[in-house]
Amino acid sequence: MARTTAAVLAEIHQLALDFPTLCTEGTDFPRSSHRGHPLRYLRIASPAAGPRQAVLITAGLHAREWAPPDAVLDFARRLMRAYATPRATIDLPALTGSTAIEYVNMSGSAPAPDTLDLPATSINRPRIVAAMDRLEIYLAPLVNPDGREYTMAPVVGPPSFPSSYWRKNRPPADGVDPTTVVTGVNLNGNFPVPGPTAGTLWDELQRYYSPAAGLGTGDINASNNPADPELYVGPTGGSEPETELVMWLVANKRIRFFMDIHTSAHLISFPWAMEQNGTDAGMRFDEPAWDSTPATSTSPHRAPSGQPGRDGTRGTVYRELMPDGAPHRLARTHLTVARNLRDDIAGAAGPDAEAISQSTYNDRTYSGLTEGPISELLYAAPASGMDWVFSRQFTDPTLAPIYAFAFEAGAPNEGGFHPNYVTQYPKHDREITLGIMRLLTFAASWAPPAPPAPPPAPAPAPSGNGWCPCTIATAAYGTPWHPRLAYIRRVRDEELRATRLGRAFLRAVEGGYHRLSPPVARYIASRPRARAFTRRCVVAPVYGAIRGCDRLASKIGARESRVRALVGLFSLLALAGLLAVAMVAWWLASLIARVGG
Amino acid sequence: MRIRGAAEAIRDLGSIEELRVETETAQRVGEAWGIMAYATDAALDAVRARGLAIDVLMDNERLAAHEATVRSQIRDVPGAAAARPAPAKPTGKKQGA
Repeated sequence: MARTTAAVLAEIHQLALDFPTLCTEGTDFPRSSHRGHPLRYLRIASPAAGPRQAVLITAGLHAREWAPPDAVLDFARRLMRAYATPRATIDLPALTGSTAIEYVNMSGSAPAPDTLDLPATSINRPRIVAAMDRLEIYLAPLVNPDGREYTMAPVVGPPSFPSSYWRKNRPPADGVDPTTVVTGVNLNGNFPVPGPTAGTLWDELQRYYSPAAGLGTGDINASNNPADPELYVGPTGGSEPETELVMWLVANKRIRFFMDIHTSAHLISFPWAMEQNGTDAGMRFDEPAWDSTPATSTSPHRAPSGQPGRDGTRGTVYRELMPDGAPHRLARTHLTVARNLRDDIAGAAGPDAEAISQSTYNDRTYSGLTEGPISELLYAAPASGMDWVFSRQFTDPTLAPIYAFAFEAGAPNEGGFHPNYVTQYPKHDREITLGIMRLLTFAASWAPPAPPAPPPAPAPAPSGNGWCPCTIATAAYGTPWHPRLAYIRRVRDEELRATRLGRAFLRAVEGGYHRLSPPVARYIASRPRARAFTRRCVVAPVYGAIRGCDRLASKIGARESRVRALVGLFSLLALAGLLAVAMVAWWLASLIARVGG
Repeated sequence: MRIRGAAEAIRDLGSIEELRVETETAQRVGEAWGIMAYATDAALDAVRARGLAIDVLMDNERLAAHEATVRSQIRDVPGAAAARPAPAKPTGKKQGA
């Protein structure tokens, strides 16, 4: 049965009563929804001692997607009941015969629904025990209680968009009847990414996307119009109490693994949602060189000439950085987990596995179960919860990365947002159980990567194989993993080190540098102001110079010629720098002489 | 996930041919393009006239029957309606201010 908002809140409370040693009801989030519903969550963990990783599962951000909150609650009860029963497993029954899944034939002419038979499947005990003993599992089963209540109330609104298809939250309209005025915010577009910003979220999106992207009119799923029935992003990032609940949990519960559950596109997605993915460390949401700025602006930060900038579409130049370097290997790990999840669901479908993993099966067209970055599968979706969770590692380099997913269970032809709870919901339920368990199994087996090897001690005569290009910059940022250092490393290792001239240039530069830098690095490492000064006044200009030279040289095709150009440009800049230093020294000396004389 | 009804799709795209192409694309990526949204009778007639499988759009009659079935499966808790909090009164403040 589909639970109302009150029934969801009652079940959250009941779970905590039924499993008091395994589960607590989170009542400490200080805000309630716009219409007074408490914003609750569950914490599930066994009493066993030992280090734990924290996982957050969210559902019900979109009001009309009825199945995920129910399935998350059903999963929680199943998990704890199995753990509390000796030798028990989680058993998902067969869906055949009278309980076979009903779907709408999307390409044939027969009007009657067809059926899909699924065999029984189970989750073994070691996976259950590992999840309960090694993890803290936070569940926010219903992030948007007001919206769900509205969709389940007697239907109002025009037939083309009845209230049962409401997607956003339900803040009261100012001074007007909320049942007749389109209001509310798309919660999954209200997170402060690519911010944070002092202005509105829309300002931030306008900064991020190029004018050519058609923000607000094109295929980028965002709107600045509160009357937009699906896409209004809200006044500011994180403005809504429901959005804030998710942000509060992520920040306060040390979340390392995240999954937001939706229906019904049959997708397993991971960042980024706002742009296609890439590997260039220079293409980041906080990189001002790619910002879109008004034509009248005098800002030097503009998308490079001739580039379309961030346009939210596939196949163009800009690709948001999805790092794949050691130790986290984020790109390949996300893809692997998503593929494993897909295989779990398809594998549990038995002989009909192809029916849910392929687009076409027995001359019928199905929605395929597909994995990948959501911007490349569905549409560009800015300011989503998944992107915000993932972006935190960049906005605050002291934070560890969070593995983030958005799972769209069920297919449109299986009841869409409102599946029949007898003949269609069981498949949504099964998929969501398998999906959450896949993430929990990954999280329970995950070990923090070994800390990176310390930078090699500066040798009097360096070999030129240094792991980190700059001990001073490393001390300034407090980490060798800052994207600017990664960029410099890439230029050094992939460009300069690839040719004889480049290697000779590196030997000349590094020889002197490695003699001078250790005492400087030691001095600034323990002084926050010195580190900040070095970041702003030394590393940033040097990074800018290297980046500019690299961009100029990148227009040259042959590597030998490119490296010659790079070395030439670097040498010119170094000479100019030395000349500037000499002039300042000469001016200071003259000044001192005049004052002294 | 986002949906768009058939009527809106036809209006936005301007032609039924583009709707057909878009609907196929939507099926490929799994987007519920209109399948669970009500359409105007004129839109449904236009789709039928062009030979597009009506199941993709799920005609209003079947959709209404489906919705009625699912709505009968909603489970509340006893006394929840009476205990439900009253909607917050408008404060007169602008959102986010």
